[in-house]
Amino acid sequence: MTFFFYPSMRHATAAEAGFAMVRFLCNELPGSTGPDYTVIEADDGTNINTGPNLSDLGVSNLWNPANGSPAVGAWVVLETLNSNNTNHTQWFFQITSTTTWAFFMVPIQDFATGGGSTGGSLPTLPTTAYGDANNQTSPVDMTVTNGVARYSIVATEGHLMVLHHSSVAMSWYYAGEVDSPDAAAPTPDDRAYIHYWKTARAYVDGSASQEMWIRLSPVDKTTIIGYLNDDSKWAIFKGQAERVPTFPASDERGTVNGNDPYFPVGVYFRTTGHDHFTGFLRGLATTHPSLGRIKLNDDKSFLHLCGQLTETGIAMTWDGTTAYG
Amino acid sequence: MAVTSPTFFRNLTFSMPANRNDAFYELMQWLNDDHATETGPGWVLIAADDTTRIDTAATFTALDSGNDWSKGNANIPPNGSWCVLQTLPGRTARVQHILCFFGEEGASPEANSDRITFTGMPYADGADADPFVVPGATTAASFPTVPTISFTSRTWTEDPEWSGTIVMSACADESSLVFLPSIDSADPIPRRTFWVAGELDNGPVGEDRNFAYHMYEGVTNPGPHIENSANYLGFQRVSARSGTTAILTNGYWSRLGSHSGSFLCANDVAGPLDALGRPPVLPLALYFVDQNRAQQAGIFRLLREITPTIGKKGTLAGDTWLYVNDKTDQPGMAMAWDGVTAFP
Repeated sequence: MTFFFYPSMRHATAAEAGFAMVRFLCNELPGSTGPDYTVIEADDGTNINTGPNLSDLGVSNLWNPANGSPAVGAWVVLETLNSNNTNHTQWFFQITSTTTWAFFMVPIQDFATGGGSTGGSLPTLPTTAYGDANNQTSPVDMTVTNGVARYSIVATEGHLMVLHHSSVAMSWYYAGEVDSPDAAAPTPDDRAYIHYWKTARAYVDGSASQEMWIRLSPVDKTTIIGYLNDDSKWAIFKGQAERVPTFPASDERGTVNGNDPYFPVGVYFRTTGHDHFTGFLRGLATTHPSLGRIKLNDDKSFLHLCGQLTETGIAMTWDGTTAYG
Repeated sequence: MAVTSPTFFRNLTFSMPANRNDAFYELMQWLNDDHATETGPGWVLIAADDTTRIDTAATFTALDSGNDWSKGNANIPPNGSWCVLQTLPGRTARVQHILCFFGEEGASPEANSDRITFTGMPYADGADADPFVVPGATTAASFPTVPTISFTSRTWTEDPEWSGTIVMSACADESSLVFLPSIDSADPIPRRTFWVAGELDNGPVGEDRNFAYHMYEGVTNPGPHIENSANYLGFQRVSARSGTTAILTNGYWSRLGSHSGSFLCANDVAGPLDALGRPPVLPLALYFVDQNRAQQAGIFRLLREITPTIGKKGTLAGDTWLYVNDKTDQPGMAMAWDGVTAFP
């Protein structure tokens, strides 16, 4: 497994940033090395083509870097690579508006290609695909900026994280694999793909009722879980009697030898009949919320995303080199 | 450094109290990888004292046959005997000294059948070493002098309940150990019967002695479960912060759960198995709340917690976890297991 970074890149519009993100993920962005996801299909609102690369798309398709850049309404379906196993997930991304990106997960790799351009509308998605609920018409929305903002992507062969950050707003998204502490099970979780749908909350939400994550149940591979009331939670390592290590702001930072601690953070689904601890989020750790909102640690190994001072912070792995901003 | 797959002391049975010393003698042989049948992690023998003499050698086989610890005779070390083993490099190059004393440190007399005392000594080597120093002569059934930085745990209560046939089960690798015995024909009891010691994973950056030891302080007779009491000061270690050898005494189980409220994953599953058919054997960490030195110690490598609904003892998931629980309302302890041996 390899981490790929698109660190702190400045873009003038949401469409420009979205195109750069896709090109990065497909490893077709000069100056960057991405995980090299496969293009399943790309629709610029007029032209629709299959991949496997962006450069293979039709001569008029604006998703092809040789032709320009896609605008509002354009969508693309990408597929991840072998990571935890040889299964992949497909991932739908649309530039919905000048201020919104939309995502769906297609975890069984069964997106049907070959239809005509949808003209900016959603294509028909498989019944096991999910956005922010158990349907294929309501995506996870991520608010981005109609103007200059910074975008950072951290990805591996099997997952991606996206951070959007402007002078006034921040949003964050996770999609793809998690890492289970156990490889085997009577019912193996061989498609441990989840995505985060509370994109405005770049922190570990401490709400008593949480529904933060969505996935296709590994039990029956047909039920979409996590979106109902209190059905999916961040799972952090707590201290005794609710003394949560390093969080919130009132607790000690727990630095050791001058280094702040970064601890694995997982996801737990508690939907009746589908309850399970899915695993640990890849490239993400919990951290003290006082460490700064969008701020690197000293050795640039983590970017702190402490969205709320009163909530547990999260930190995204970083490339160890690039300054932020 | 590399940590290899753990080794196992698999359900050997002993009659208690008559064979208490036999049981722990074999456990030490296993840790030394010098047991007749069980493959161990290969910790190095430093010294062995049978109350009449003290000898040094790297293995029990190599010990002078006049020492009751030696495998060159059929003797069993008596009460008051002790030996010290040295662990191997785990995630870092640093090693520990581990002492096992057949008796109770500080008691009168110390050489008794009421306790087994384990001591963890985390500064066995390195530039700042404070190792166990082998005495020049036998301690004659007294607890030996240990380094200033050491952690002595009085385990193994010899209550009447801890009698009959005892199943001794343990798991260890180069630098960590879980010892989790149980009674053969009865449920686990709330007694000092287990020990967790050694290295944790995901430790602080730059910490090359990420060692902690279970100490049984604060709670009377905590049994084999994951205690969530505010009084439970289960673990101790040396502070990992630079420039200090402060001893941290407030080490708690750190369990997976939600940031707010009392939600804990291990307590949430509706049945003994999660919906994937897996026993909810969840990772377990350690956190110290000592004032001005609060710090995360890391994640236990060989120990997990398991939902309280799973039962009192047994093996799960193709015998890859062995669990013991003396409670019905708190999670049990689950120890990595060999994938082959069912619980007797």
